[in-house]
Amino acid sequence: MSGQQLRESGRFLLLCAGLFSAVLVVKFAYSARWCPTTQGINGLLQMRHVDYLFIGSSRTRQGYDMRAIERATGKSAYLLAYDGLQPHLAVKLLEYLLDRSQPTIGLIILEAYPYIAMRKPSVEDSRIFYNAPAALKLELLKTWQQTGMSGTDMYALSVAEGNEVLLTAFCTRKLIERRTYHGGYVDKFTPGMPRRRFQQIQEPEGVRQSPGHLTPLETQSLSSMFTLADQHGVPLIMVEPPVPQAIAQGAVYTAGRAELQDLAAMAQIPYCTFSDRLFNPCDNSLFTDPLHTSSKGRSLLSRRIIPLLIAAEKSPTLVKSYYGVAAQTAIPPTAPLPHRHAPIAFIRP
Amino acid sequence: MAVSVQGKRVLFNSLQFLIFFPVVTTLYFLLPHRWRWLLLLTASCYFYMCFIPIYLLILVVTITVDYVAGIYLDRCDRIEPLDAFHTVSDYLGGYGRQQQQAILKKRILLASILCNVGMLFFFKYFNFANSNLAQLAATLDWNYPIKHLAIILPIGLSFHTFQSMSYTIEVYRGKFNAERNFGLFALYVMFYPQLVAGPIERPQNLLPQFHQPKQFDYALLKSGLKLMAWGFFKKLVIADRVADYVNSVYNAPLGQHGLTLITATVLFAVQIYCDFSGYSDIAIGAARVMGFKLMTNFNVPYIALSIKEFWSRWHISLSTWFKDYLYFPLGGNRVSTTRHYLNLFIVFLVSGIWHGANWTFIIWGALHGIYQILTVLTERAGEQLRHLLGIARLPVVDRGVRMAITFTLVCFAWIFFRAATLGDAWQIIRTIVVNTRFTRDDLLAALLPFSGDNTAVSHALCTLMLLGVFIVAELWGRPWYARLRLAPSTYYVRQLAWASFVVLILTMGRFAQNSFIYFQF
Repeated sequence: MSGQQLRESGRFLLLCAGLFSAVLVVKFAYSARWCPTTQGINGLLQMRHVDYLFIGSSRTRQGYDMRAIERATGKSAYLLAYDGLQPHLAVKLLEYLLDRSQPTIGLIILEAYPYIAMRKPSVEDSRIFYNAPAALKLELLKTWQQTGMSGTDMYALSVAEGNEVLLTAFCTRKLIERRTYHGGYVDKFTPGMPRRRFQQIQEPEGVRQSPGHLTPLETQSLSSMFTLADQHGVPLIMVEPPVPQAIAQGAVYTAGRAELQDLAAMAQIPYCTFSDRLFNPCDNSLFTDPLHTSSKGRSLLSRRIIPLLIAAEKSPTLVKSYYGVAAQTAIPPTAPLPHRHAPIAFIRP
Repeated sequence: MAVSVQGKRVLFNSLQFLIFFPVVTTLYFLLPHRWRWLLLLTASCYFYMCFIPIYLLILVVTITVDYVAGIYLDRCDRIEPLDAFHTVSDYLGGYGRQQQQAILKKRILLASILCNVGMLFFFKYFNFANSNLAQLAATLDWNYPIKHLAIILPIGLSFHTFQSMSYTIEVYRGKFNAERNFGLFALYVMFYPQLVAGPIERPQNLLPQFHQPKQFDYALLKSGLKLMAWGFFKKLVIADRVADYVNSVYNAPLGQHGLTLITATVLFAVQIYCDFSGYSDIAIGAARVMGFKLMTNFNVPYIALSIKEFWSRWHISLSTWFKDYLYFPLGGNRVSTTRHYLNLFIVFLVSGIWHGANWTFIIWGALHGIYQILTVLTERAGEQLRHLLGIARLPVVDRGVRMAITFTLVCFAWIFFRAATLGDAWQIIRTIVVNTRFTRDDLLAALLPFSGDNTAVSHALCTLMLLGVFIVAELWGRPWYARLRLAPSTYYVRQLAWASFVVLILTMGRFAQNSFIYFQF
């Protein structure tokens, strides 16, 4: 290779590196600006006050209708949901939110989802990164580094993911904003499951082979969230979105739920479930797949949670003491769906 | 995005390859010519052993058998048979000398082919044949004792087996002298750029290149790297992007809308082309950097005006393999019309079987066989119809219509290729026929699999934009970058364009290390 050829190659490599770095810096600093303002952390930061802040995974997003809740309660509600959001990432979001003066939060409704707290750390929804402001991005990167994420995955998350939304923001942002409201879906139709498929539901193979315990990282993250909320004086309740009976009675799910209930009980955090009378786990039309509710299910669940929200807001201690006591005893792994939890509609201040 | 555990395979689209390739290339040019084959062979062994190390033994057996067969076939032509193969010739007593040689050569070839095909059958088709026989036995209420074998299919088995077989056949035909250097022959079968997914090379093209001393050529380096970049773009930016859509639809075809299934099928056509031709481009580019010239494998197949033309543009190394070593020996088209049709059908049926041990692949191959026969049968009628409708006088419309018909037929066959089972394929076709509407709900449902959430519209638009770039580049001269050769004064513009292209791959590519589709064959 001659000197001139070496120089040419060097110049080209420098040009590539320069362009790449420029794209990276711009994306890191400004990606949140081009994201839709009606969903995710970016949308939440646009608000001044949120009465009810739901934090969870796609089960929470698909479970509640923000407009219906706001209409029924006259309060503001926001759904901070990312697919497969694990507590160790949720705590980072909460930390960032509570450290800021805006938005102020009335009540936190934290999703209780046993499977997700049993999994190894993973990221299913890259929006959590590119929706976030730069400071939060840095925190997330640190967390991923600590949890042993591979370099390739870290690269994919920080460089390759979300570019579609950012590149086409000039014409798709408004469209996306029209289809979402306060983090939740607008007019999204998700059909109920066919009865035959519903009857075949069982705990996923991967879940059945898992150790069946909450991981120490997620347990610690949940405790941190309880402490954080307490320190900032924001009431927090844990709510378990309903699942089909076959899942709810699964050995792994029940074991995980028992651990979550114990954890909540120790921190005096109310742990709320929906009784069969309020949300029938045997009705296939209420579920669109083994974990998510259908449109009909979402509509019903949004109605059913309203009394709890009102109760918790008016007197969180009453809810706290009631559920705190109820969750003291762990459920044996093979026990049927726990009926010992009172339906949430019974809770009256 | 689901973050997964990373494998240690040296895929072209892996970080490991980014280290492996420059190291091997640099060492290649640093070493003297006489040691280069050893370096390439070692690198190829390492490349292959990164998948399942023990399977290297399969290659060793194939290489040894074909090497020995080649030597003996060559000797048959050169040495007096009675001297060289005393015992065998005694056994063949009664025939003339030339006849004895011919019979002996045939037997050596047959033994080599049987060994290769036997290996292929055992690893690739045994379980398929066994399960079908077990089903048949169960239907007839017979006792069937042979158990399913827990075998993992060696990566690229069909490719290197066919490449090795082409050597034996060429030596048998006397078109190529047997390679005496075992290491070079092993390198011919194992040359890492094309080891696991082709192009399936011929000995005349590749083996002599290993003998020629190669000098470092800056122009070849640039051209090879450009071709590799184009291959990476096709694989990482296009194929893996549309794969998300295709997989989500084809893995659960029940309950999908007709429009969604049509979109998924068209996108699969794009995916498989970009995936496979992307691999070929990377392979050809990587070989070019080291000074080797591999055969062209794809030539913009979706602009074909007929199925016949499609097969002259798609997977050219395999199509020509079948043409040279199966179609012509069967008699080609120099036989009766019926036999010609049968030959066409056999070739495509075997091509289907080559692709995989599943009825879906067999039906896919059979469909292409039927297409070929229908093309021959309707050639004249089609011509007359085009004249009657006046389309023939409008070349653009004529080409457009014929291209659209060919593409539709190819896509229809892809349904069988991609579907997991025949049942799924029928279900997909039924839904497309019965349940294709263009209502708002159907359009929204067709958008959703792009990302599975409300950003689907962004993903769809972005995919369309990238497909636009890809189509323009593909059609804009071949090699496509020829058009980017702007005037000398615009040197910096060219550099900037290429740098932007590299950044586009780095930022828009999917780096989840998805395997190449054709590795499974």
